Amino acid sequence: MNQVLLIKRDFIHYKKAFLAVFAGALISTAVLTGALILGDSVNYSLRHLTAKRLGKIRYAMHPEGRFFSLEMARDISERTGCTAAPAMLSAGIAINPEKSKRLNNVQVIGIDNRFTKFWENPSAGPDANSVLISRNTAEKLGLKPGDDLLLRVYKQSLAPANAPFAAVKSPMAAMRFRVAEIVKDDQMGLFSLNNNQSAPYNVFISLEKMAVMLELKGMANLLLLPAYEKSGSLPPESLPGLIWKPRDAGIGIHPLLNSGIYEMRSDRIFIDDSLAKAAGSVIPGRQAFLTYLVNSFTFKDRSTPYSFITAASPDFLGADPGPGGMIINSWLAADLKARKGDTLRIRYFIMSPRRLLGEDSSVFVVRQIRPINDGIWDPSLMPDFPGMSKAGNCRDWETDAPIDLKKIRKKDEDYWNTYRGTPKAFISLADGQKLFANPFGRLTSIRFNTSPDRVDAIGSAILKKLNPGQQGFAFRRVYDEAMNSSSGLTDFASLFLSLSAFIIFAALLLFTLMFSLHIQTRMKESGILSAIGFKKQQIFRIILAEGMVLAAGGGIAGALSGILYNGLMLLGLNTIWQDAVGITGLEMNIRPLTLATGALAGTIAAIPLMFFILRHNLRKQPWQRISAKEAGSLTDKGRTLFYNRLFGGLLIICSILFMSFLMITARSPDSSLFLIAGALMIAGGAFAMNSFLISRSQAQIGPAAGFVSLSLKNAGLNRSRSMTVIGLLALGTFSIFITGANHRTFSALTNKASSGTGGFLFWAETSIPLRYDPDSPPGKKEYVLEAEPCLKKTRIYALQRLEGDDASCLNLNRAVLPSVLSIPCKAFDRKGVFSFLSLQGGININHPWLALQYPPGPDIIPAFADQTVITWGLQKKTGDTIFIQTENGRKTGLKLIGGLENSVFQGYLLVSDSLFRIHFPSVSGYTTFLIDAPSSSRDSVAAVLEKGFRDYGISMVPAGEKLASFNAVENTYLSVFLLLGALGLLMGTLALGLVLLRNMLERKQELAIYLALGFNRRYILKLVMTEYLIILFAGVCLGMVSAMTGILPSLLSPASHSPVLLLLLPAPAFLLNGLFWVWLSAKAALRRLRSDGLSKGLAM
Amino acid sequence: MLAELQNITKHYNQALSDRQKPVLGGISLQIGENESIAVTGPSGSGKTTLLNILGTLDVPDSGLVKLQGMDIAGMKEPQLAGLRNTFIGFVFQLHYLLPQLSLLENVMLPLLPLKEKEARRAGRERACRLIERMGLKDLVNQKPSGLSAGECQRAAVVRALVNKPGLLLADEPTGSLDSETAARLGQLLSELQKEEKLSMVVVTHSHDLAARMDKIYSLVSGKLLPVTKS
Repeated sequence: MNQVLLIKRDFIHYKKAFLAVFAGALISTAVLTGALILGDSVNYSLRHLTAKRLGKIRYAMHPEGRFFSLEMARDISERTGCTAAPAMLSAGIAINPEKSKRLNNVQVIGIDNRFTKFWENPSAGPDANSVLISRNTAEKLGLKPGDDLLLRVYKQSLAPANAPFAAVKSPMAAMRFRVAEIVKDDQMGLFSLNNNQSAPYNVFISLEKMAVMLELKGMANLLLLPAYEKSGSLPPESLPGLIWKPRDAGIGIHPLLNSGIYEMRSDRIFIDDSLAKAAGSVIPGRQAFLTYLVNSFTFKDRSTPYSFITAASPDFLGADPGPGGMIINSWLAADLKARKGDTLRIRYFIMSPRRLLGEDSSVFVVRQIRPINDGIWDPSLMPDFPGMSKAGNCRDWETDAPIDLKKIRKKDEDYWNTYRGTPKAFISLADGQKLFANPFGRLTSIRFNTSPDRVDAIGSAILKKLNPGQQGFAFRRVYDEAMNSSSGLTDFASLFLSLSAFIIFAALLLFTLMFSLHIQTRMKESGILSAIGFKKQQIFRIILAEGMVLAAGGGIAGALSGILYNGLMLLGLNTIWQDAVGITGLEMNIRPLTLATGALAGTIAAIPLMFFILRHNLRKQPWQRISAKEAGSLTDKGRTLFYNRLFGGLLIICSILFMSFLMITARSPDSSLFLIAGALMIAGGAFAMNSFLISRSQAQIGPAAGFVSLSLKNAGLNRSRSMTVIGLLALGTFSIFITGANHRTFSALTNKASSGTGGFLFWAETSIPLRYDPDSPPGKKEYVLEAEPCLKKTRIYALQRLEGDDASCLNLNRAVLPSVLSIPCKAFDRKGVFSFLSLQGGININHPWLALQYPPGPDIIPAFADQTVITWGLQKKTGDTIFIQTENGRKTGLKLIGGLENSVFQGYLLVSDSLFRIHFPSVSGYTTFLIDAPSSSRDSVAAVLEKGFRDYGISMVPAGEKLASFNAVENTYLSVFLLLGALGLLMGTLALGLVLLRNMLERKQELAIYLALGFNRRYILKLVMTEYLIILFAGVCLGMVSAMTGILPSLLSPASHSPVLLLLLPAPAFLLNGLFWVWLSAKAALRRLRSDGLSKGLAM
Repeated sequence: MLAELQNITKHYNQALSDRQKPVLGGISLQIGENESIAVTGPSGSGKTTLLNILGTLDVPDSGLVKLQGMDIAGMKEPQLAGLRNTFIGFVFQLHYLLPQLSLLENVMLPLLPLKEKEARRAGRERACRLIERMGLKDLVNQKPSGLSAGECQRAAVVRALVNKPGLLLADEPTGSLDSETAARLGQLLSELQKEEKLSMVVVTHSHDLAARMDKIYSLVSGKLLPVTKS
């Protein structure tokens, strides 16, 4: 005889009980392991997706709003020994002309065969007349190889579209192509630089063709590199600085005809300050110029329209006009009949907010009149304004400036024909820069004397003074970033562990109950072992060893079963729960370490439970264990009652006080704090009920006592079992109720300004930016919206967007740099839109939007974001700052000064429109719109705008739907939780049934006595059912009251509408379910009494 | 003195009442070597409580328990377990054999806590001898469910004696047996007490069994009163 044999015998003898304990361990481990595998699987799938998305691409350079020459790719290939692929990336709209299907938000990529080689099995690449399209593009448009496709591409230009007089008339280029091939996902169909799991709609055209379409021949805006080894000493970050040419930085240096003078200009029209500074330090004797269009020169009643004026260095003019002074040419003097000393007024456009060209004026005194044939009157001083410089006559000017062609006279056309853009006046550089400087620069050209052989050296010297990174010429380690990003944002293992919490809890409860019941049956045995001399520690070790074998066995079996559980979860996520992850095709990834972790965690979780159960039960004296008697002294019971009442009262009071405090102090209370109040309530309630049962167990039952008194007495006498049932039901009800209540539903409340839609009717986006604010007069005119009657009461809030990663819950990847939206703060403030969950101290809570206008420090922009984006997407908190490099090369901080309640802005950082324009001047046009209109005109507004902006690829969704799309993720998770919670509850029910069955079998003697005393079976059944009805009711009520405390913010939130009546439905279901088990177990006990005979029951 | 109780008191909570019920009201008892004592008394008089206290299965509210001259009040659980294993043998009214073990395994069970191999070996030999002595030799592989009540109770006696205890405590050992089996077990216990030179305290309602003991006490109203053997 030895301990191993004893344990072996126990396993055989108690196999049924052990099986139940084993099952508990198995289920809890399976769920736990399944969740861990899911984490691995999602991360693996995202990484796999990233690998498909980028192929062999490791580095990418995509200077925002800038272009570089194709030679750069060639030079980099030579330097690195690997193929650098140039490409051109732009937004577009794809149309299947045959089926009249349109697809917005298409990514148009101009490529050559260098690009295709980044993927295995490269496709042949497109020729001049064909396109390759991704699988999803083909599916959306119903295209197959050989079909025609009409493509509209956003026409970017070298000059920033927001620069004065820079915009071309049409922002789009359109062309018809033939679909050559539908490229697979693992060819290049998924190519995108965005860290997002959503498949982009890709259309690949020939790089050369795209350059022709965009009038950017020989240029590219994307350079891709694979991993390379040849030049280990050359990290990709250093490459642009080594090989870029003046042309890549937009610098053009040209000789002026027969003069020995060279002129430096910028492709971007205005020479930005960093370039001007670099040129200044390299070329000491330079002459600087700023040429600008003036709307008129006026003297007395005479006016000369639309002329150029140049601000120049005095050394060029040979005379200094001085402050407020002007040198005019003889043509202008004659036209205005102006003489030296006269004062002329000039009127000129200035860029106002929202791309409204305002007009300003200034006066200058004529200091000199110089003949038109003087050398200073040089037509090449006019910058290359698109649409103007090459125009045959003034009437052909194509500019976005509102030029009144009627004002142009014949003599003006003659001047243009003879002298082109020759300025008609000079002012001092200081005066000119005061009037015409803009965010893009304060010079239009720089002239200097040099010999032809020095020109290249000067260009190189200027480049050396520039930081290519500040111009956007920097390679990003896109593959590494994507891999990091794909493994980070959502910890799916933790997420699904929390979602499965109730099922794990139920499984552990099942394990605990089964083990506890089993231990109780073995208490007599432990007493006997004590009586024959076994030390308590020895008994403890033997039973614990048995439990550990069960837990370890259950753990191993559970870890393997976790694969099955994971399979079911993946099936759900790939189908009905797809909203939660936004992709299909999640693949299972099983790592032995995860299985081992799951098995170990499951086993370890069970050990303390067993430890405490055993310790609790073995605390009794041996004789108590043998005779199964309770022997707490009266003092003990009194003390227990006192402490239960004390803790119960204190916890309930704490819960109420905490809840009241939150309601009074927090403007937008945090729902998680209310959950704490709910948890305090449930704990307090449990103590209170326990004390009630203790007091009922000691109560005297008088002769007139009815069912309820007797039932309560019985419930009190079986206190631990009664409390198990109450606790189980309370927790189940609490979880289900809270989950259901937080399920976000939408009603008319979404029209409220304070809701997550801001009360806006539509959220709209265009694939191609609108240059004008469609709500402004020029915008209405440009887009022919003035005459639309349904737009009379409609306001369109146009927002500018700095493209970045989607930081919303729709993106599983970590947002490296989130998109930034410009917000019309004053308008939002007037409307009082949206609600805030957190605001930094010092912000006026009645006017939070206005806080965005005031930068807290130099190069710091205040920003709002959805609280969920701050917490989860960015993993920051209010008060934190995100640093980015703006296009002027400055490191700028976006300081999070407040968190919005769930809104349509999820995924974006919101900054004021005025600060947006200062820090991101190159972001041209508007792509995001909030439309405020009466809901009665919903259809007509949608129809007009969709028609009006069709060519811009507008997509409009009701703001409520937009919000719902974000909440779909949350709601899907809640659905998952509800389902898992229901499974957990089912398991809890099983445990409940087992407890009740056990109770009934233990009470067989009591039932036998009732029968012996002449009670009929129906009466006994009624007695038992009443007792348990009270217990079940108490459990459900406790759960519901606590849940109500926990969901108070949800009930009070204007943005959500909790279906309270619907939520009440499970409560009777729980009661009925519990009663069913009671009925079943009581019937079973009575049936056994009948089959065994009453005497046997009485003799137990 | 092998065992001694001095002024032992014990109270229990009274059911459905706030009051406590005195069970033992200052009981003293001395048990000499090779002495056999019977304790009789009405149901609920505290006989089993007295035996549990003597056997260290329960603790008194007050009073002194001395075993082998040692006060057990200061002893820790492992020491008490050691005493129960080697000094005390228990026989209960119901046999309390473990259902999962065979008769032999049940009998050998008290050998498990023994540390010395020699003691275990001696215990095994003694078990075999006692099994034979009790007429259970052919039933050693039977589980308790396959044995009669008398056989189970005899096996329980062997289990109690396997470690050669100095004091055998029997709580209604014949209470669950028919009169013939009870008489035979009473006879066996009496014989074994003499053969093994045991001290024995038997709690019983059976006059026949009590009559076989050296002394008889009656426990009434918490007091232990000597009964003259007729």
